[in-house]
Amino acid sequence: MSPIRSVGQRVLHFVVRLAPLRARSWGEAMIGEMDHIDDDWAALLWALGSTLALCRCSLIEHLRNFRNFLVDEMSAQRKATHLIKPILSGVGVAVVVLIISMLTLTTLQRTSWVEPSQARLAQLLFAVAIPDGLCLLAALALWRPQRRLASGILAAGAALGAHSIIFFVA
Amino acid sequence: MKERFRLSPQTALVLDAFLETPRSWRYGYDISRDTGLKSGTLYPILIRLADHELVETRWQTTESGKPPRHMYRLTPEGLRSARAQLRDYGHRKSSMVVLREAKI
Repeated sequence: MSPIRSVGQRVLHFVVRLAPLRARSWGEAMIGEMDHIDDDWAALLWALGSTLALCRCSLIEHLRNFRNFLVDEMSAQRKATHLIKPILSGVGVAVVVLIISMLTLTTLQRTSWVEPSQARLAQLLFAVAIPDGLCLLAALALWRPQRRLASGILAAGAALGAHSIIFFVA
Repeated sequence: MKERFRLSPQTALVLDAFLETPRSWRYGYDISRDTGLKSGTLYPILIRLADHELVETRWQTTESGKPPRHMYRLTPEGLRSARAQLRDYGHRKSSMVVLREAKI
């Protein structure tokens, strides 16, 4: 093989190796065709032209893959948001219920409506029983129509309840 | 079916070369010689035509120890589309020539 042809072939082989899969089959077609060109200079020109075409094809393919990757990522992100949003809303609802309950308890204690002997019972009632009961009822009511929201409420209610119980037992 | 592609003068040349022998398989280098297009212009056109399913491809094994050759032929859809597009292209081209001559 002449050096001229060899240079062309090496350049083309190098680009084909780097090309994405779909472009590679076209690159192999270009290499195959080059071997059927008798004139060495014509073969070199063929190889250089093919290299340009392959680079262009590879670039388009890479851009297409990148665009598909972005579309997939955005779709996955949208799906995750769709899943997580109701659960977080449920957690938010449970926290709001607990805050209201605790504020009520503080107000009652400040206005001396609660006897000091009943303070612990009031704390148990407002910090655990009422908010957890409300969370449980809300979760049961919402289980069928809004299962994810209900799961969020239930999970947050259970966590807050467990935390309060540990606090009181300790 | 995929969207209709833009018919450049070079694509028109390639389609015209295919239409000379509509049902026979052609090699890339032969098309290049017939049309006068370099490989850097010809292959993107062939790739685009294959993407639009207007051209079908196959590999031909050779006995002389040379690597297999890629062959191209118009699909039935490609044949219909090529004829229609070239007809439109001919009309467009002739009206452009008339306009250009009118300006001169």
